[in-house]
Amino acid sequence: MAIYTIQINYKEVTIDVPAEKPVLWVLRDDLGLLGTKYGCGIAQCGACTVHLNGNPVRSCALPIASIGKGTLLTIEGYASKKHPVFKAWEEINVPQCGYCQTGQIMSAIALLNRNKNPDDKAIDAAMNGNLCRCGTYYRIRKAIKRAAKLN
Amino acid sequence: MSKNLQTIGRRDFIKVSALTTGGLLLGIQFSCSNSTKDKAAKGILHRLNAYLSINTNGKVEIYNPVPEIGQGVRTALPMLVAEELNVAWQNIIVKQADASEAYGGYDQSAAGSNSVRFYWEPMRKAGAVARELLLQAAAAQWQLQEKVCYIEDGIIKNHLNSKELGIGDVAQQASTYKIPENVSLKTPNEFKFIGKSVKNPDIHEILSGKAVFGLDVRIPNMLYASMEKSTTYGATVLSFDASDALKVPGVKYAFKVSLHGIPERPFCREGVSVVGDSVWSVLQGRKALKITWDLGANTKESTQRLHEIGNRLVEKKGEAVVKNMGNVYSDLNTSKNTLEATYHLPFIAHIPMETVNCTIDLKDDSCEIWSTTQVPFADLNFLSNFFELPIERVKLHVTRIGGGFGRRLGPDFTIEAAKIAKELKQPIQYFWTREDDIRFDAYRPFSYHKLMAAWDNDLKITSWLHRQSGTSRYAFRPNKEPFESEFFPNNFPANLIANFRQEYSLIVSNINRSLIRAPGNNALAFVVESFIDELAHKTGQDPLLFRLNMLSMEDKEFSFEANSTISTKRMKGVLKLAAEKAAWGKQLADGRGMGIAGYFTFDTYVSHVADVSVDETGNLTIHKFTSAIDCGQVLNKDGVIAQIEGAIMDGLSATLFQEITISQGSTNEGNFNNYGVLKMSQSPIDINAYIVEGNYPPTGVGEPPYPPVAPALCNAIFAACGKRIRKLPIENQLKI
Ligand code: FES
Ligand code: FES
Repeated sequence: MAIYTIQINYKEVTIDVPAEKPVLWVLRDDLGLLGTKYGCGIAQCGACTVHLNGNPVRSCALPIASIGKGTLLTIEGYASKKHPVFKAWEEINVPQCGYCQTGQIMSAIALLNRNKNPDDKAIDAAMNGNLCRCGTYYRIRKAIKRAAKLN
Repeated sequence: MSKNLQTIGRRDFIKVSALTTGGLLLGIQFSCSNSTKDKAAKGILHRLNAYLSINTNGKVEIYNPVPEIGQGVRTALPMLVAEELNVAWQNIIVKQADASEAYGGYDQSAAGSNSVRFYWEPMRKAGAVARELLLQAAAAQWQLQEKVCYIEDGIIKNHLNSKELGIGDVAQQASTYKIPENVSLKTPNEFKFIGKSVKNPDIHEILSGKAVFGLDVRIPNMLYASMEKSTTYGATVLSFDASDALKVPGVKYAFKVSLHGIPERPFCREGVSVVGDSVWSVLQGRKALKITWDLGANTKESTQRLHEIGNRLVEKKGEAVVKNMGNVYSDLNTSKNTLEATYHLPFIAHIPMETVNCTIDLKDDSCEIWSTTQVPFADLNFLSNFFELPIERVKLHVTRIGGGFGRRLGPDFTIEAAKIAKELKQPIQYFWTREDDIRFDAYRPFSYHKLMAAWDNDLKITSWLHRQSGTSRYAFRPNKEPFESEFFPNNFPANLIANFRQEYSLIVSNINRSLIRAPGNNALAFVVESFIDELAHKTGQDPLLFRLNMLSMEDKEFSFEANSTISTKRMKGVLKLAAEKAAWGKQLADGRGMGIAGYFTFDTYVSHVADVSVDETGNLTIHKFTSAIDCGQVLNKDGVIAQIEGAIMDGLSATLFQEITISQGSTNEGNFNNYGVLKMSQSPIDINAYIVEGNYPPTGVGEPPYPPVAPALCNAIFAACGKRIRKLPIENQLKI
C-alpha cells in the first residue's frame, strides 16, 4: 500500500492503495465514482474510459502509480459541465441498456475536443475501442456529428 | 382491438387510497397471464402493492414491472398508463417494481419479447381507472357531469366553461372514491403517445453516470465476492490452499462452494470463493489461490468431436421426425432438379456488457436482494426456498441492467451468490469477471443442418427436407423432446411446399447451453433463409420474387402454435417494404450486392435487406441495412427502431465473429480479445428501418429483428461476389 495524491475532477484526493491498483478500481472501490464501468479489465472494451491530461485512456489498464501529477477526469467531472455531447446524445436517444455509454461519451468528448468536425474515418478511429453490446453505433455516429454542429 | 368498455373485475383487484402526502394511490393487480388468472380465480391473490400514484404536484409515479435490459420497457410500459391518463410525458416518474405476484409474478420476466403482449391491457386499465377517478373528483368540484370533463396533458378541463384543474389538485379527492365498475379504453385513433416516440425517462441518469446498475449497488457494510472455477466443465475441487489469497490486503475469506446440479454437467460449477472489502482485493485473491482440480468427466470433449458427429448425423435420416407432410423422399428421388446444402452454426455466448452479479443482504429472519436478473419472480421464489424464509420476508429489487440477451434467464449466478451469502454474516455483492462470463456461460446450441429440395418444370419447389443435428437445449429435460427447442415446425416455408419434412438428431454433449436472443430462430433463420436464396439463384429467379411467389399471391394464415398464427400477407408485407425502400433490383457496381431475408419470430415479422461490397481481395464492407418490421400496434416508435438497429449490430457480431470453441472440456475463448464484438468501424454507416402499419395487437421487438440479420448479410455477400457462406462465423472466410 502507498499514499497517492491525485488530481481528479478538479479536486485533489489522497488515497492509500497498492501501486498496481488500476485507476478503474480506485475510482469504484475507493472513491465511489461509479460512472466509470468495468467491461473486460484488459483494455478491450472502453467501458472504463477516463481522461488523463485530456486524452482518453482505459482506466482498467492504468496502474494508479503511473498517474503522477497528471489530471484525471471522469464522467462525473464532465456531467456537471454542459458539453454538447450530452445534448446530442439525448436528442438522438442513443442509449439502450446504457452500460457502455459513459465510456462512449468520454471517448466522444476527447475526439471532439481535438477535432471540431470529425468525419466518419475519424469517428471510427476514435470510437473503435468502445464496444457496445446493444449496438448503438449507428446513433453514436449520428450523435457525434450532431454534437459537432451544436459546438 | 375495438373500442370497448372494460369491466374492472375482481381480478384487476384495484384499490384506491390516499398517499401520505395527500395524492392518489392506486393499487393494481396486474393479473395478466393465465397462470396468474387461475390463481386469482382461486382467491390466492391478496397482496396489493402494485401502484401508480398521483401527487398533489401533478407528478405521476408509475411502477414498471419488467426488468430493463436495454429493450426499452421502462419507456414502453409506462407509456400505456400515460396514454389513458392523458398526462404530459415529462410528468411521469418511472419506478422499478420489485419481484412480486402483485406485479404479474412470472409475467415480470424479460423473456420471449412478451412484455407488451402481457401488459398491454393491464397497464392501460390502470391509467384509465385513475383518469375516471380524477374526472369524477373534478366534476364534483365543478358540479358538472363527469362526461363533459376530460384530461389534456395533465390538466382537467370541461366542454362547458373555461375552468381548469391540475390532476394533482383533485388527486386527494379522487382517492376517496371507489373504483369504477367500467372504464373505457381508447381506440387506436385516439392515441396520443402510443405509436409515437417519447424520451427515455432514464436518459439523464445514464449519461451522467448516475444510473445504478447491479455492479453499482452499494449498501453499508457490504463485502465483494467472486469465485475461481476450473475452465474444464465439470471439474471439482480436490484441495485448495488459500493462504496466499488471504494475505492479499482486503481479502477476508476464501472457501469452497460446491457445484449445483449433476456432476458431469453442473448448472453451477464448483469453485473457491474469495470474499473481500474491494473488487480489486477479491480479483487479486482469486489469482493467489492454489487449487488442485479433479478434472471430471468432460476432459475429452471438444468442438472438433462435435463437428465430426454433427456432420455425420445429418448425412442419415434423423432420429426424430419433427414434421412430415406429403412424401419428401420419393419426390426427391424422382425429381430431376434437386439441390442440397449443409450449414453450421457454432456455440455462441451472450456477453452482456455488464457481467452478471447479485447483491444479497441476508439476515436471520429476512433477506434483501438487488439483482440483474431477467426473471425476478422465479429468483424470488428460488431464494425464499433456498434461505427457508417466507416469501414475504424476501425482497428482490431489480436494478438497471447492462444487457440481457438471455444470459440472465438462468439463475446460476444467483444460486452461487446465495450459497456464498449463506456462509457469511455480512451483505455481499457477488460478481463474475468477463473471463467468467465467456468461459462459464451456457451457450447457444451448436448445430448442423442439411437441406435438400426439389422443384418442378415451372420452377416451383415441390419438396423440402431439413435435417438438423445439434446439442439441443432440451436434451436433458424430462418430458421434452430434444427437437422441441430447436425447430418451429410451422414456421415458413412449412405449409407452402407440398412435401415438407424436418428431422432432428441429438448430438450428445454435456456442454452447457441455453437461450440466446430469439432462441432456435436465430439459427433456423440463417439456414432456411440462406437455402431459399440458394434455390432462387439455382432456379434463376430473383430472390425477392421467389419468396413472394412461395408465399403465394393469395393471402393465407396458418396455425403456428396455440394462440398464434402465421400470415403470408404480413410476411410479404415486410419483404416488400424493405425491398422497396432499399431500391431492390437497381443496378449495382461490380462487387456490390444486396441480400434479403425475412423471418417470423414471436408473432413479429421482420425483413432486412443488406447492401455490401466484397472486393477482389475478399475485403467485406457492409454499407447499409434497410429493414421492415410488422409488430402490430407500435408502442414507442423510436424504441422499435432502436431495437432493430441494435439487433442488426448484434446479428452482425454473431455472423462475422462469434464462435465458442471447446478443447479438452474447456472453453478456449475468454475475453473480448478472442471473442469478437462488432466495432464502430465495422458497423454499417446507414440503417433505415420502417414499420408496417396495421391494426394488429402489439407484439415484441427486442428479439425478432435478430434472426434475419445473418441470412440477409450472407445472401448479400453471395450477390456481391458469388461466395456462399454456409458456416458461421464468416471471420476466416472473408476479410472484415
Ligand atoms: S474495462 Fe477497461 S477497456 Fe474494458
Ligand atoms: S448501450 Fe448497452 S452496451 Fe452500449
